[in-house]
Amino acid sequence: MARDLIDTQWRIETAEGVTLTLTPAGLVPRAYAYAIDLAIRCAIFVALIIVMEVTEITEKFGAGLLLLVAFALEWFYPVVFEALRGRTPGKAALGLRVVTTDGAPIGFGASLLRNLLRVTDFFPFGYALGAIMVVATPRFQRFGDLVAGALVVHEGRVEEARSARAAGPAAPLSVPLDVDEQRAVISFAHRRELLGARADELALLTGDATQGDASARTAALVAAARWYEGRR
Amino acid sequence: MSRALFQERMREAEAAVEADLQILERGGELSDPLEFAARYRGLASTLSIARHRRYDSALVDRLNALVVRAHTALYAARLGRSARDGLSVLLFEFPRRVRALPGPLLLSVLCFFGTYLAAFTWVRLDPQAAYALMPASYLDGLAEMYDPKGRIQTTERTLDDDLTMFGFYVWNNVGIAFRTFGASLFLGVGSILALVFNGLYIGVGHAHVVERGFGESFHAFVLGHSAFELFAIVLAGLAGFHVGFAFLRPGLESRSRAVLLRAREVLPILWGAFAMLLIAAAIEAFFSPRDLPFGVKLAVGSVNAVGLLSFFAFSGRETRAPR
Repeated sequence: MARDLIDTQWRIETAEGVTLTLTPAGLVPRAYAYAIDLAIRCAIFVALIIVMEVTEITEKFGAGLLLLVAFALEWFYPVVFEALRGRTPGKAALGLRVVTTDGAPIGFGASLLRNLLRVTDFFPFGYALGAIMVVATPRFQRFGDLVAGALVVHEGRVEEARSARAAGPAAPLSVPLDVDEQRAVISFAHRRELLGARADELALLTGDATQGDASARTAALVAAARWYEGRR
Repeated sequence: MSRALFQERMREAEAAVEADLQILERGGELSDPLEFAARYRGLASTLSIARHRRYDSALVDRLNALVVRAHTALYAARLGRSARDGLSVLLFEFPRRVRALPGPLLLSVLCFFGTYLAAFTWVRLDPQAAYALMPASYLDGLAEMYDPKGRIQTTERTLDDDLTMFGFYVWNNVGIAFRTFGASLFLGVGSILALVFNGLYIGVGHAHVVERGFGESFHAFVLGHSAFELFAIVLAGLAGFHVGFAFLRPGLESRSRAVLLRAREVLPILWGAFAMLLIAAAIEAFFSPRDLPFGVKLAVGSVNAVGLLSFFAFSGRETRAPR
């Protein structure tokens, strides 16, 4: 299909013989997720300091504890969350998940690799190299992801559009359509709410297949979509 | 079959998988895990059929998302590794991997101990060179630390001090080891720099402290843990070299795949170096500062060094078939 050329999806074939489609996450959601995780890590650290102030743990013991916590937060916070839950809290907030390139959940080893290599991706400052890699690689992988064989993907929980379920008249278009064209009409009907005013503009491009003004053409397309879906 | 009828028929199967997933994703147990696997396979074939019939993306995407979640839940099971497995990796697989890579090991030893020895010799021959190589504040700080008449090497050290230092050693030393590996992807140059810099720091510092006449208290302090600590850094460098050089000599694989495979090979070494540094930090914080006779320190240090070397030389050598 021609759309394979331009989309960013990654297809994997599982042992069950079915092809799964994963949607790798780009730079921006990942940057937001990182920012949230950073805030959480700082909050844990500050909270610990406050707790120690309040409970008056001796200064030196507290300093040792703080350093251990700083170490764990720096190196193992992402590893533990990714290996046990598939994502850090920041990634969960953005609906992201870390998986291996064959779609399976990531383990401790691979997660450790991708997080240790943050040193490389951070180079020379502020994850500059990692950002370039995410933008430049087809599956949006920084060095750590490439080495660990990992992907950061959008966790798909797709809700069917309301318009797709709404009842209404169903009638085919006056012109016979092939399967791909029918599919396009159905997709149009499902995305009508998202498209807003653009839906009418698109409907005007259907030529002889529909008649009347823009809203009449849109209604005809939606009715046709119901027909092709078999809801008649 | 029309799309609407298809959707109607699969709704039940979809709901069953969704119900199972609700339990699994909260960490619960299913009453019949095999049934879940069967449901997953059924849903997977439903997805294939939906794709084949070119149903619209709303339907296919929703099914795909559900199958991906089920796939994740199903294969999460294979991650379960017992603690015993982890221990056998550390005790047997770790030294085996180190022995399998003599080239990178030699290079790492040369980068680190070579620089160490060179810096040490240089500063012993020309004590003033220390000030050319390192900032005076670093050298004075070191000297103060190991001055037996100073305020730091005292017998009044408490458990609190030990804990503070344990935290510091873990944070600092493991951080150094992890960074040594993490910088490896620049063709291994990052690891070379990390090893050379650390060798230089320690070599100059060592020579300078001896030069000031605090050699005995310095040696008494470092003997116990140095074998674990220094060798762990060398191993982190080894791991870095093995991965970094995959760019230069990928062998029969593509470069990206060579890096991926080699990273997997060195994982036990990284875990091992981490464990060694934890041991080193514990010794350094709780044993090294104790005011014991020099002979005891020397004995413990020697046992540690010999034990560690024979661990790497012999452990995991039995002919038992690898997993």
